[in-house]
Amino acid sequence: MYEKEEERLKQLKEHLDQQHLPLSQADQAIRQGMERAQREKRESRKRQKRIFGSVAVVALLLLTFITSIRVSPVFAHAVASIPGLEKFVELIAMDKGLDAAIQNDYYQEIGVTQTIDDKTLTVDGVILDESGINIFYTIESNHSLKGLRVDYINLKAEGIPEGSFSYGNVMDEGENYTYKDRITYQFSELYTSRNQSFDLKIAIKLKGEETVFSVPFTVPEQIKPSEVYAIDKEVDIKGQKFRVEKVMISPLRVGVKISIDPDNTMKILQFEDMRLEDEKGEVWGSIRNGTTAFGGEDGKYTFFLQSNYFSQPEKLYLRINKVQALKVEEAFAEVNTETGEWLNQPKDQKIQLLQSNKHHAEFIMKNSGDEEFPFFFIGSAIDANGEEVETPMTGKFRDEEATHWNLNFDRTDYVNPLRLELFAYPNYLEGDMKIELK
Amino acid sequence: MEMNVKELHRKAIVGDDDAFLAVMQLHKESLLRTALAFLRNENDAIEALQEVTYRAYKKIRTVKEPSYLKTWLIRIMMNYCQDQLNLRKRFTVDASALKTVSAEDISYLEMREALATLSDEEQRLIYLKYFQESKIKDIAQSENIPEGTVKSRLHKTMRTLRSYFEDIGGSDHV
Repeated sequence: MYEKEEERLKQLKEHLDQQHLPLSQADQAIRQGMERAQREKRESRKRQKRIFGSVAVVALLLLTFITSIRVSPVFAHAVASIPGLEKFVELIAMDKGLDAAIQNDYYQEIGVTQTIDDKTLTVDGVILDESGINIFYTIESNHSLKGLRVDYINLKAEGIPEGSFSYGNVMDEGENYTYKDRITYQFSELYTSRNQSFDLKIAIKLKGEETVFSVPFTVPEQIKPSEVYAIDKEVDIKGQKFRVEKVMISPLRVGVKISIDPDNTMKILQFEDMRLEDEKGEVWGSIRNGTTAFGGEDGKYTFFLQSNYFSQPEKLYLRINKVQALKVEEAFAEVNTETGEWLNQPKDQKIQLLQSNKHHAEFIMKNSGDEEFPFFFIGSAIDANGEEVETPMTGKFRDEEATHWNLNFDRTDYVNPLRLELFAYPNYLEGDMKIELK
Repeated sequence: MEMNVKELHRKAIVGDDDAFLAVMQLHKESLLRTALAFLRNENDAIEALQEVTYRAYKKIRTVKEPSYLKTWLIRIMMNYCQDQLNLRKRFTVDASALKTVSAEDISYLEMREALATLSDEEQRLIYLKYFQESKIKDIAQSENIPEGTVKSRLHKTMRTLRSYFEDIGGSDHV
């Protein structure tokens, strides 16, 4: 019917078929494309592990604390007496365990430097134990460092477990010639290797230009081993069961391993008031400036508390009085960001979807009393095709009437509805758990 | 042989990296040909192949039927190329393409011009049917429309092509 047109198409095809193909470059292109995709996949996996629940919460809390830091005079004095550490005083407050580690001379000086162009990086010192490492470093230059941003940090050592980083400091406006920061690298399991040599990479960006420092250093003194208490005790709060497996007390922090019963009718979200208490009623609470928990896969978690390693109590208890929980079927939110509909949400509807589009969603909760709900309540987002939508920028603020949460999605080609995993919610079960450690 | 290709496709879809590489090797000529047909420039075609490999690797698990994998890859390539061409239209006059074209026989040139007047979807249909010699069934799957619709759209597209040639004054020196 269209023989003439088909004939012309055929001629064009034959002509195209005779074209030279750049086959020699093709294999390389395929390899590069594949490597790029694999690298992204690896990175997003790593990120997923790192950003479990509370880690995201922590980043937000960090800002709150930096702006409202209060250092006790006693502590400031103790820090000032340790050479090289005095300039970091405002970066280490708010953690009893860390304070105690410093006051007990557990900080170790390193003093390794590298100079690239006009910038010099110094690793001033570290606090290392089996649970993690705190690295204090300074960057100095005779040019202004205004606008300096740490791009990425990488720490390598033989057999070092995967972990979570927090780093970054807020500089004053204006010209600055010194930048100081504390890196907290928290291991996901105890690092019991006796290798104390590390390779640290710090990449910074200043006025669009990247500088990558690479500083190997060795921590001179042997680190203190953790005290591990095997508990293995099942606990029940209002019919919801979990098992406290063990408590690991290290100088920098205390890890509490908990596995949650998969048959629970409610999903336990946060152990907000988990704490250690000694015979005099002194309390060590959750970490307020750093990673607060790891895990989530297969219902096993490690929660972190401030450390009492250097105190010598006669008795020590692990206590929990309330947990955040939601019925399993309410523990995720399903929203259509285009229509603004909630398809699934906790029945009490305390949190509302204020407005949304494919880029962005804003949630709101009316304030009740003075009690602030300090959590970011959404974990990952999964679209209707089961693909993850990342939310690289999240924010939370509170005004007189309500708390607002903002969520930005990294792409808009996802398919609604989005399923948002809830990992914190202001719904509580109360009980009284008191486990004797010693 | 046919069985082996299908098995290879199946493995690639479930996430076997070696199989994925082999699949890309197997279809690289068709993919390059597709890129060249649309972009008409070797460098752009190589870049397209890299991008398509990247996109395919990320999405390969969404392919439901191993026998459609090749058409699926071609489809990604066509989408990429058409996006590139649309960008070029908006921002630049593509001198490199013009140069290549000038060396072509006038009848190819006319056919290319005729094809350029078609919508993106019509171009894909023509390309799959006449250049890749794909089966109607595979095209239907790849474009996610019923076979009957593929046939009627092809028919309509051929009619558009015919009227294009009639309008430019019957220069049918075939």
